Amino acid sequence: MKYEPVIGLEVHVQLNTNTKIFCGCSTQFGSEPNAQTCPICLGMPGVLPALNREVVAKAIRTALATQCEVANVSRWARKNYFYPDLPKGYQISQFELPIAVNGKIEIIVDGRPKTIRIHRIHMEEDAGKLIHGENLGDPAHSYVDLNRTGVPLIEIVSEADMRSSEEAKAYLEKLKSILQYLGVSDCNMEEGSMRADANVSIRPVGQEKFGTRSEVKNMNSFRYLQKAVDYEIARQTEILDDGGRVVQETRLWDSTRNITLPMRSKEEAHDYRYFPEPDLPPLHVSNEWVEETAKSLPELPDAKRERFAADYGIPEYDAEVLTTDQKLAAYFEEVVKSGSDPKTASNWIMTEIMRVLKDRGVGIEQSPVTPKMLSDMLNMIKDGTISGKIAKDVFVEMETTGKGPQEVVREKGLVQITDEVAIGKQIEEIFAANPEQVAGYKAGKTKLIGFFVGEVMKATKGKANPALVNKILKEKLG
Amino acid sequence: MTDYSKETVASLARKLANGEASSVEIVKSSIERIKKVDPQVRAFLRVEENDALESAVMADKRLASGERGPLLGVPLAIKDNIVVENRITTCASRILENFKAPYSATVIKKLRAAGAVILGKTNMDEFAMGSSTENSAYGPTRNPWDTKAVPGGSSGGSAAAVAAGYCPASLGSDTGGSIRQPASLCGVVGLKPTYGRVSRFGLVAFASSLDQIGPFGRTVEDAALLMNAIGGYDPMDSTSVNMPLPDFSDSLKKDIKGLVVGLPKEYFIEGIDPEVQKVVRDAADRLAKEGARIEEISLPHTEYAISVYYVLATAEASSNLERYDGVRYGYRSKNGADLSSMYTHTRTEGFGAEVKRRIMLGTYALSSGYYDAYYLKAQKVRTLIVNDFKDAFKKCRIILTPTAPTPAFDIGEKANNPLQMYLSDIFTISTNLAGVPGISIPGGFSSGGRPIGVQMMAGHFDEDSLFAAAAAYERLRDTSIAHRSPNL
Amino acid sequence: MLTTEEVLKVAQLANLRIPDGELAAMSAGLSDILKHIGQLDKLDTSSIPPTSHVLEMGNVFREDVVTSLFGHEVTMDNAPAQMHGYFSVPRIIE
Repeated sequence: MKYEPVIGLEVHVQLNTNTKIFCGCSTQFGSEPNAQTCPICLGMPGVLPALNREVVAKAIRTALATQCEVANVSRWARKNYFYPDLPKGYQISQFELPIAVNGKIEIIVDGRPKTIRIHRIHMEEDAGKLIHGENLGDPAHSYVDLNRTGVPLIEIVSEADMRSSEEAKAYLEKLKSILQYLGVSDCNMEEGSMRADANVSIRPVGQEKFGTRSEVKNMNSFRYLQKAVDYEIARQTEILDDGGRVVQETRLWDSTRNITLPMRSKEEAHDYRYFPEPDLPPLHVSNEWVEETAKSLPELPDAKRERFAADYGIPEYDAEVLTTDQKLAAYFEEVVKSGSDPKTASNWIMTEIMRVLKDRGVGIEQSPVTPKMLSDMLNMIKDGTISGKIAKDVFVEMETTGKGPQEVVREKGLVQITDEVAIGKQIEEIFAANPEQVAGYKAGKTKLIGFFVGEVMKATKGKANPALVNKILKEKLG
Repeated sequence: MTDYSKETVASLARKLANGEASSVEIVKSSIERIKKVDPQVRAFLRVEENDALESAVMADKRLASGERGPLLGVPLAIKDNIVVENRITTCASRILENFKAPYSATVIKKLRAAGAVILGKTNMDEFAMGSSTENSAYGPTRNPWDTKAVPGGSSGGSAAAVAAGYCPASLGSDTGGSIRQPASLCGVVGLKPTYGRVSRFGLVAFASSLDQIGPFGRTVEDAALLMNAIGGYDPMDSTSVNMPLPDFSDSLKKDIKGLVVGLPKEYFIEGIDPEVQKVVRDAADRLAKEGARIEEISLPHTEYAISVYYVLATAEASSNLERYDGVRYGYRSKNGADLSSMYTHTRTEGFGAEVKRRIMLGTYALSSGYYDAYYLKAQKVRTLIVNDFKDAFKKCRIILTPTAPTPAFDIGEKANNPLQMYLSDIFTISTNLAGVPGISIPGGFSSGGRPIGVQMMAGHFDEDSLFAAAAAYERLRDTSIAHRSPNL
Repeated sequence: MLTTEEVLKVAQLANLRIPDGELAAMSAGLSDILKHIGQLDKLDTSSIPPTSHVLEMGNVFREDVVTSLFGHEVTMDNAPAQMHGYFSVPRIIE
């Protein structure tokens, strides 16, 4: 039996406002627990929430960037349940009337574009952190840090439009990219500023009705998300193939064992008793506010990608890679503006620059090679000052020392040798040292030209212009 | 020691202004009287003697420097569900028995700015749930007029404090009548402002869409002076209304000629104590003689108000009280080896019976499968009640009714019948549902010597008309009323 | 009207324990009140909108500026149990 996976993602994103959603506490917290708190986010008797305008502004930006309809009137609701990290015993969220609905995100998987619809976006407050006591040597207790309570979240719920873990990953990456472009969140899965839960089910190919789904939580990286979704699909496939039924449940990804495990059933029995939040008036978002926000949006990833492909003539794939990160895209454009060929620039960025960033574990803003340094180097290749091969060494020098290409080339004497007489002399020396190979070439082993080129490059420490070396070798060898 | 127990806010302010008395003298006299009398009345949960004297000293300094103000140096009592920084606030519950509030309510900040002296915190029904102050975890308060009787609730302590002459005014809270009903039963003035008129920030929430803080006073003028001090927009309370606060004392001398006063027929039915009816009819007559026009009106959905209230208020309360879980503050049970049982034991041991009953009711009304039938339904009927008032206020400016169906009942009389207790809120509850302001003014006494109050209501933000009519009635009523005091 | 089972379910949601001896009384008491509340069914509210907020209120916003400076000590001042700067609670049984 062939099954089709059906996947939807619920993504929680922490907004990077200065203060929490309902109180004036800072969202920048340090290491001391329970220090970034106040009576309001602690849920003390008598307190009331006061809504941070900037949270709404960022939510509207997100809604517009994902082509949602922004509601002119939306409401706050209480979601009631008991947990130590939830001080009021309820979370202020949005239930019946969220701020935005009916959006979409375009993804590309294996070169094929696909639209993933967004069901809704709503705002809510984050809970605190619960640490299990055994981490602090006390297995009989759990520990609560409420610094994070009240940090603003938006929850983005997709429709169940994804059909593979690749699509899920692509959706999440595109979402992250959009949110970073908007500057509304750090979107760091490892740090928890972006969290994704996956709803996974499978159904026989051709069947319209959805199968029973499970909800998978605790995947804190793109890689784990993909693995967890694949695991779930396989697990459910096995159950159905064996004639069993999939149980609707919440499961947690275990990254040490690479499996999903069912969450304790007590967590399941939640009746949230949603009702309209009496302490907050309905939220009115005027059409003017929406229009103003729309005007202020930056060029978004898809638009930038299309522009890069069209204006710079680089392949779609390159454009996609370069525009995933807004700062990387900006880096690329700066390099090109200084006169570099876009495709060349793109190659160098996607290979060498990305490698450096990965090795150092930093973002493009911390790249040791600045756009100017790179573009100067590319110019030096273009005008023949250095060869492409030497450039790789120059790059490494720039990266490690922070010196500009001109300085590196000068200091290390890496200027390309283009003097034909000098090259010719060098070639004569190689011939003299390798008479057998000369004879062999003249006898017909033309492949030996590679050997000679190699020897010349070795002797000139790579500085000889390869094209000239080839030309002169052929002239001399006949 | 001079006896200030019959002074009003206004008269004390005058004495303080012209140097006849100092705040320290007045406050000492209050504390003296509390020590002497309160063992019988039990209005106070905590008297903060040192705080009070310190504040009095500061008030005297301000007075000496030439500053004047209607509350400067005047002692007040505060219901124990309004937080005062660094002081215990219990809401008359075990679950907050040791809770030291880390901040002050907005109304407290305003009172302090005005130089008022806070004597301490008064007894109440636990979490404001009750109509008799018998639901306090710390024992009931007694009616100063007859210590066998209840003072009313839930702000029984604050009403009794004024009636017993400890201070000329106090603050209470009103969710379904919790200021007006005890005011009626204790023979003092009690006002519930328009919803949104006074900040709720720092009022421990019972039912968020119904709660309001309001003043008790010996006179209508006292209530107006207090409203001037505590009312107004508060950005910390998103349900407080951004409207300018008038000087309510301007309304007190207004002429009521031509004022249309509505008597809702649904409030004058069988089962109301005849002595109560008589007082209210007499009030109507006196107002009419002064030029007001009395009209019969209808508030057709009155009979449903209690049901609506006991769904909506308990639902909101069940949510508002979820924070009492023993994790961050308050009582935590020693029983309960795991989290879930700690929660259950803490809340079961910490909450009293009435609170638990209402939490159960509210939780049920919100629960899956019942939300539409109860909560949503009640919200819709609330709309009908709101519309009743909107329609009524097209025909009249003031609505006149009894405050409570009977004078004060005996302690223990209704305690075992929750439904009976709930039904005694019949005349006050609609006011909260509609969000309109209401005031209770002493109107007479029962043959047993227990006070009977008269209630007036006005449209949203029309406290002006309310004060005008109430002050007029106060002038027009039987003059003996103002001169009677409890025998304490 | 309300069975003991329903009472227990509601109690669990509310984290309250109704001792066995009190279950019947609680059930009866709540049923009494619910019966009275049942009178609301007499009213046709099919075209009536619900009231969540009794007053028309516009947006109320707070600016995104840090104002709270509460700090750790005041936060922990009322804590029934704490350890290493955290609120400590009995272990959650999983």
